[in-house]
Amino acid sequence: MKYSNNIDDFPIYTSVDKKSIRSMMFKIKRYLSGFAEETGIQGFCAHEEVLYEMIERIEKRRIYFYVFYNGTRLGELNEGSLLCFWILKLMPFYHPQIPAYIINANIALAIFVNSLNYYAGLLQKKVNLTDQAVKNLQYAFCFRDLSKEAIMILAENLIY
Amino acid sequence: MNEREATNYSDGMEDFSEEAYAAFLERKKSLQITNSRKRPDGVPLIDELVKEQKRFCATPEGKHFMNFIATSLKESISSPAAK
Repeated sequence: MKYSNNIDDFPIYTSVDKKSIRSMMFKIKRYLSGFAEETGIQGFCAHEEVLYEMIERIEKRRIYFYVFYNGTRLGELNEGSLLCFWILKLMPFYHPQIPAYIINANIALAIFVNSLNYYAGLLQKKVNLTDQAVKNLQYAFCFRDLSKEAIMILAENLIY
Repeated sequence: MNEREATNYSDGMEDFSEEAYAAFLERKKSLQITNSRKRPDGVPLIDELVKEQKRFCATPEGKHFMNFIATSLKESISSPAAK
């Protein structure tokens, strides 16, 4: 691993290849179809350019983690938290009859819970999420200011 | 706003000229052409989330959770006829 604090040693960020991004966008849409199926509500749509922007920003943060946290990988839980953050911030999902902030907060909540369960499964740990905690999260995702780091630390502390 | 502030504001707006915007679009286009870096990690998380969604929704906890989400969404549907 190379260490430096000289700006000339750092390369310029380039975007991830389009094929990978398209594949991830396709998967997000598949997730959205599953969400529609499970909630029994049809008519959800996703804004493609916003999805592209979200994926790009997560990839940038992956590099940021590596450069500024001594080679640390972003990790699944942080990646899931970032996905939630950008959904709440950029609101890529919409529905003709439901306010955008409600749709996006609930999809972010579902992704957050799925990320927790997936990561807990990897570590053979459990998720500490009560009904009240889910309601609190839903409210916070709608109306409170949550930074990327706040969502990351929240996620980390809900696994035991 | 006094005259000086107004002048500064006007000066600032020059950054958003058509030429500057065209240059911005051109720069963005060139960035899109060079996006050839492969993702460093293996499977993207979203692949796993699609699988996890199916697995979780098949469990009693998952059904309970999705029912909570569905109820919230249905309550917010603006048209009563659509409920």
